[in-house]
Amino acid sequence: MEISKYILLTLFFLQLTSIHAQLTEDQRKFSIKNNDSIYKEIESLSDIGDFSLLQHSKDIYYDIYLDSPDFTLKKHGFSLRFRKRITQNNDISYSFQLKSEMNEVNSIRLEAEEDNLELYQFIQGTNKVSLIALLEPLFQYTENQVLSDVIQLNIQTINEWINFKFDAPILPFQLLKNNGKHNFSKEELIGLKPILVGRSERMRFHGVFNEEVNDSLTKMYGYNRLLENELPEHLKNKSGLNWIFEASLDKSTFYTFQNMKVVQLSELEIENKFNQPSIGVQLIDAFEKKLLLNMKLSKGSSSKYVQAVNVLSVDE
Amino acid sequence: MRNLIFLLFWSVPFLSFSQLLPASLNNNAYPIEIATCIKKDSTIDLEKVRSITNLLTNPTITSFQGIVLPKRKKTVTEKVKALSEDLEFAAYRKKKVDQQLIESLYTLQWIYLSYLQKADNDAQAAITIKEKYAMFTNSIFGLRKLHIKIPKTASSQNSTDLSSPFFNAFPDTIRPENHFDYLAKKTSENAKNTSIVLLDSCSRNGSIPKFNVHDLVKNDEWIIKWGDEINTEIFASHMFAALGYNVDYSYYSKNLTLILTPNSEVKSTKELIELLKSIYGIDISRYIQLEGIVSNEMVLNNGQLKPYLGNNFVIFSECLLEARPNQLKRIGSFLPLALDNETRTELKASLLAHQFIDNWDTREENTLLALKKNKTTVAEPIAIFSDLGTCMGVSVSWLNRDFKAGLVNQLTWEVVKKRNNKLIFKSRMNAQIDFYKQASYSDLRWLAVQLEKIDSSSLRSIVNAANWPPEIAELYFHKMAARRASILKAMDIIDSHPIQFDRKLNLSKNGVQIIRNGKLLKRTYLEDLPVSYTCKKGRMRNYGNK
Repeated sequence: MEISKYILLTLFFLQLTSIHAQLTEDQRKFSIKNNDSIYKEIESLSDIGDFSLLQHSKDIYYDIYLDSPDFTLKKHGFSLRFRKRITQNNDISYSFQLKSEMNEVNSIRLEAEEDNLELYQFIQGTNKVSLIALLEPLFQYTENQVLSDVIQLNIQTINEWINFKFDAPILPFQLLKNNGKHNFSKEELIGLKPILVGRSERMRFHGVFNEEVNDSLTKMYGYNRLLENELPEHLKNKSGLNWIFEASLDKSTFYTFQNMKVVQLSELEIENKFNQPSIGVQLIDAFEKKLLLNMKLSKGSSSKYVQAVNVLSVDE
Repeated sequence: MRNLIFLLFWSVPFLSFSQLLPASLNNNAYPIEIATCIKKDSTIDLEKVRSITNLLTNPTITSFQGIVLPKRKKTVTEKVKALSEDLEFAAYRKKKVDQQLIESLYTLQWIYLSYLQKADNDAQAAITIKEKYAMFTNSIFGLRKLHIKIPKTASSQNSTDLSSPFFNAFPDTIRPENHFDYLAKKTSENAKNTSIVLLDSCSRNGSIPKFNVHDLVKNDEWIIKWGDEINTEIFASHMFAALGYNVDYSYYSKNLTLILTPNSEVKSTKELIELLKSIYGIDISRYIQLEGIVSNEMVLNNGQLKPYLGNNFVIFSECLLEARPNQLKRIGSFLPLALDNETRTELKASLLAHQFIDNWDTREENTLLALKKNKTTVAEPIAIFSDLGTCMGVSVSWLNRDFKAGLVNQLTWEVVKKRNNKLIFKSRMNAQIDFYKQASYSDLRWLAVQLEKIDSSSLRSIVNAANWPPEIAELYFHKMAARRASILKAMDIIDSHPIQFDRKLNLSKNGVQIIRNGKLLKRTYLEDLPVSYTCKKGRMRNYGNK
């Protein structure tokens, strides 16, 4: 990599980490290329080296990705999505998320989320309609792939909602306008609308080491000292388990609204949770080494959105 | 802050002001701060509203007019977004403002101006000479101003229900001494359940030593305080709550264990003592009962201590624990001088409450707007009288900025006297004199009616909550009973349950006289306690450690 490019990228991430320190996540991605056996192997994995993977949930996600007709978000390394999450207990939640692409320099990503979508209402024709009611038929598209009149009308209304709300206090819009990488103008995003919709099955794991089995790592790296309310439910009151990272195993299918193309993607994602991130990075390095020795995985950096658009070639 | 608000609104054309009712209750005339968000056609000015909502929620906006903005809190951001959405939807539909929209605008502006006040206050490197002079003159000459005229036809009105974010109109079924627990239970843990805390960081504001800590087991956040306000602050908070006001939740704590962890700002007892001494000029070593290292034996007795094996710990003989509950998010001042708040009876009447407890530090910085939330409700704003500890007998030296609270001999037996057609108050205050001067006789009388409800049993409970040594508690009980009687007498309120008091109180312990003729004597066993209750030598009066 050219030195100037490296410096620019470093400066970008320095800015990203200072201004948006609370809006970033430290992630690693591993692609599972069309190999169901590897997926199943990871699914049943419990120990790798000194680390244990404690499976704690299996959720379903529906994601509607938005972009302009000329894919300006993708070109500038961002993805914007509405997400519906259904937990194994059937709890449903919605969010609106902006993410930056992961970079080669480090694994920090910008992530901004608006999680109370129940608040938002709009007018469709003469009727008052909630944002969630506008989104639901689009999520359902993953089940039947029928591009109904309702879906087409809702895509248009969502575009109107975005145009009205672009200057409202909604975090993804606030960050689109000021993110230290490319500050979008309203004009650039005037045609922002749903492009893709995906359905993912996500299995989630807590990556821990158990000091009752092997306390040498705890002695070397210390405890991940988090407040009780920062710990996941499954790890509360379990002082012997030292939480290092969160892992998620996704199996996703994406559909376009334009030409009914379909793509399937599988990946494993690791997110650093150690209170001192530099220690977490060292521990995840050790985990990654063991993981890549044992499994045929390839390290990746592109988001599912970029991978899906590239495979489906909807931006060509 | 008054200047900042003026700068923000100076260009607004003339508008009618609400003089009597709180702004949110008056549909036809609203405060200037609300009027700036409404267009001539009575619809919402979305551009103006968005300038406010984005400042309050956008993490990329880090300063305003050169002032660094404080950290945004999630509860506050959520509330602002909910208010914003009401206003946005109304603006999209071009709906004319109604009562509900006015209330949304009022709450939004209240949060916004309070947030800016906090930023403005944080940005001030030091109290200016002008401000110090104002506090000096207020303390010296303020009493001359605090003469409240008694109207010729003083009404003998009964108390009116003024329930608002500033005041809780409790039903008679909840006794005054239980108001504090009733309010606290909804948002915070009781400190009785907190015996081991972990040290976080020094808060560095105020003028008494304090540190941020959190509970070992439940993770609740607290502020630990030492010094002459330990008892007074708890008494004052309970008394203000008994009268109906919102307060900080402060508790007396005995034998509290503090663990110094690798994440603490200081790692040893020596460092802790030195840091507090360097910031506040106060030595807390007199409060230390025991210090040591977390041992295997301690871990065996309490498994929660395992991660802290080998760390230093300290046990304090006494301290104050002030709750910082998750359900209550603090913003800035509750702005007594903005949004027509100065017209509120319950706010002007608080003069009588301050006078009753002899509170000296009545600055705007000691008022607090917070958002209160529990799991089932939307966060709602409440106005809190905060940091009430500078009371119950105050010594202020004009020579060397020395200051001390909780000097029982300094507390007078009377609060107020009626002379000719005026009420003459006796306690000094360092700020807000002009605001309180606007309090009318009927405003004060309204609160005096609340005070009358505090009977002997209530007063005894409130005094006991403060945990003064028994003899001092007894003397305070008699003095506060006398002060209550002076208020009711001056306002011609019939006392349905008078409290007996003795101005010539005498008390002895083990044959040694401790109180003679209503005065605490020097050179008793009490002098061995961490803080003397007779010696006026206190601490540096430094107005928020600036």
